[in-house]
Amino acid sequence: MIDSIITYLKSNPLLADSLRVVVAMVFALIFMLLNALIFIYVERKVWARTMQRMGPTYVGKWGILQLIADFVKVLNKEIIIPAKANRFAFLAMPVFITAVSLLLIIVMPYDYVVAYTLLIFQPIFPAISILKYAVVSSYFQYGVLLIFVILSFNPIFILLTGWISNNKYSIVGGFRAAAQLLSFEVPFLLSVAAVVVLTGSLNLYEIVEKQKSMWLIFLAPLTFILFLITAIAEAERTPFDIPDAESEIIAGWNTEYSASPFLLLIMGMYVRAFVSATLLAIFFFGGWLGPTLPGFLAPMSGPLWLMIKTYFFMFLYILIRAAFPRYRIDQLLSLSWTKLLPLSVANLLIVIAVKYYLMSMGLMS
Amino acid sequence: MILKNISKFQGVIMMLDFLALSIALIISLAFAMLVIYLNYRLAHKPSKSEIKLSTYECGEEIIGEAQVRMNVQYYVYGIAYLIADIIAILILLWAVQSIELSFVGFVGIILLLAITVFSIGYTLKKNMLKWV
Repeated sequence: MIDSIITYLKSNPLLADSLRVVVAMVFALIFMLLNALIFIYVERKVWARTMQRMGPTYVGKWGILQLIADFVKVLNKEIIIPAKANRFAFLAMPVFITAVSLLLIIVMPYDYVVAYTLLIFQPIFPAISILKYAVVSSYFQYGVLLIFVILSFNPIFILLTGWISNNKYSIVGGFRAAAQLLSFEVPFLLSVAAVVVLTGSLNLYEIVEKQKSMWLIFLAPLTFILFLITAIAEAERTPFDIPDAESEIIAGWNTEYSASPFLLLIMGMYVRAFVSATLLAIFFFGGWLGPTLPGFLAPMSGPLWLMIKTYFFMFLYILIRAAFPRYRIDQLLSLSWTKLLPLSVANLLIVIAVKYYLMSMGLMS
Repeated sequence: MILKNISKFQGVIMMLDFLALSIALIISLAFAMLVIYLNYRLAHKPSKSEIKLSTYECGEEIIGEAQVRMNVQYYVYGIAYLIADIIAILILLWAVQSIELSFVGFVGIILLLAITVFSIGYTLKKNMLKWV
């Protein structure tokens, strides 16, 4: 049965590719949604504990089912579209923002994580090994470039969302968010350029494979710090969450949103935060490289290492959110243009010098 | 390396890129619309009063228009971003090939960086990159 399917697909490469992409995307989507739920739950719990509160406790053991209850609750809410807002665009913008954020996950190696973790069930269902062929994220030769192309849609969409809501808080929030994202994009790109100089590749898989001898964090610590700061700003998280500073402009550019459009916007934000945590793990901490974990097969420990590292950065994001106060918008923008931009240019020059030195020593090809 | 020889094999890979992106976009759009549709079907729909549909302004009476003109200084951020971002993308593309490019390419990149830093510095000196 399986053999005949494989021979049929081999004669139809386009169909086989499409099917592969669909399987990979569905995998990655389910994985991403689960992780967004876990991220929000962990964030609420850790955030509460740092404030000496309990966090969610009521639904399920330790409040584990709280997020699912919230999800069901939000689906039962009424969608309110303000009379002054543009009806069609008001519903279309959350769909676009979420769809574009979810587009990131096909480029990230999440389908690889799912496919190789499911190999646990290989002794029971031998056919599951076919999932190894469903990994498509390794084929993006320009993966890093693609991530930035997708991310650069965000300022436009956010500005539009604020504008079509026709609310003063939304518009101020939208303008602030767009300025912030634009300002931090440049040091973000320059610090990634330093990573690309050291690894010589735009493919996420090759970037990880190049770190086999040494993780980039040891080679370029300044790049890591720059990338961490700008990644938090690009994900609009505290201390750079000026777009939705509750005490000044209610909820920023999503003030007018309620029910499922609001859910979609929040989900898009968490997807972007999770993707940036994964990028930190891939660029600087060797992605899925690491010793074989005890009790797991060798191909499965790679994805598990990637998840462990990603969750470490997620945890760091949450602690940063709990510990630091918010910047003011003018302070934030001047931080980007007067400090981070010159620093990232200097960092790029340092990295180029390190690269030429290592090449002359024969330590790097 | 990659940019130099776009062979037939590379062409197939590139096509897979676009195919994968378009399929992923369709799936994620469908998912987002499904959530809104589910909400629309499941939600109970009480009557909508004029006050409920009015713009949110902390319960006060709404004053004036929201869609006002932004100060022109805001657009300086856009322009500065445009300059710096194009150069950053050029640097990113150069970085892939940095092994193969000679000293000339290196000097070119240094010049490009110097021009960027100078132009952004000039804008800062003129007090144009300032939030008002």
